[in-house]
Amino acid sequence: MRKRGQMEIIGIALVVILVSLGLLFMISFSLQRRESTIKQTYTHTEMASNVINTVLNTKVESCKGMLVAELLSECARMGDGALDCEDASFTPSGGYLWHNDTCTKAEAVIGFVLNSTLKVWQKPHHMYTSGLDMDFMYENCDKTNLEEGGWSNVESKTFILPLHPGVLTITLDICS
Amino acid sequence: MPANILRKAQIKMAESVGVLFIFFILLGFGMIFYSNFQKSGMAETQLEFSEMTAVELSQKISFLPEIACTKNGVVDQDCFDIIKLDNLTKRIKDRHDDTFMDYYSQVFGNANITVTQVYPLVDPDEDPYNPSTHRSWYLYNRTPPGQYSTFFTQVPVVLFNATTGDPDERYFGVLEVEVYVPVVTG
Repeated sequence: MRKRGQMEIIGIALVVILVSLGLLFMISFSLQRRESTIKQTYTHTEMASNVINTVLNTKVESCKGMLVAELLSECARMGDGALDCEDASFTPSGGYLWHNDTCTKAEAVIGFVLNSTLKVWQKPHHMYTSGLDMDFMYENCDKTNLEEGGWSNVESKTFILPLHPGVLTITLDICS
Repeated sequence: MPANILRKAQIKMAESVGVLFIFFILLGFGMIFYSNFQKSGMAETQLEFSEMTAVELSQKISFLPEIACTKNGVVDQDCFDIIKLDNLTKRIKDRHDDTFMDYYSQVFGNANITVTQVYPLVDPDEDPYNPSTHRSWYLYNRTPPGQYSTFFTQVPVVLFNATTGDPDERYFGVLEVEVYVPVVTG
């Protein structure tokens, strides 16, 4: 009788072990599902790099035809009193009419490009520079506080522009 | 054989059958779960493969010698020469000849490739935030027959205008690649 009871307990223990193993197997499979895809990783890393690289190499209307990189260097070097950019209007409605210095012009061009690309593509981003008061953020993509924006990952790219003296760093973060 | 022993044996047998029944039900659940998981894994692999095709194609176009900017024979990365872009778009649009088209069909496959100039705006009357009004080069478009799904990739590129003679005549553009992948049913 006692032996039979022991056998039954062993049977129950075996069933419990099997069920636990099954549950463990199911949970581990569910957790293994990857959050980000190849495309997302690629696009965010490459996109951050390409956007900065391309925008820095873009020639600006007016401002003596300087590149955005040159405008930023000039701005960092000379401040608001830098080269005067003539007017530049984007829209027929006259919504964008500037008579500005290099800093404002660079900010306007970068802002326009980001709004026409990353914002249109619904990519939360944050672009900022060291030393200059330039900051573009879309959909609360803040690397220092990802939780607040509800982001799990951020791809970042930093470019360094040489100044005389010093350097200017430009960083673009793309959140996902 | 006494009746009570026979009944005891019947109960034992029913118990064994019950245990086996429950065991097979659990096994069945396990198999269903595993096959569903395998199926979703296969669909995920197919999706990844399609996405990789889109990414690979955008990379291929970025280095296409027919449109890439070059300086003393050295390719300028992520830069398209507007003159070359105009010429290739025209030749593909005019369906230059069969060999020519066959070649590009092999290179691009089923895809829609467009290059758009984002900044500066060419026409002051265009809406700056509506890409459909921007200057665009519709490089190539071929859709597969039947049902297909699409995978979209955008790559910012520099557009170099060599006609002015200024080496800094560079605009902000976007290469848009839409890859069509036939839907496999069954």
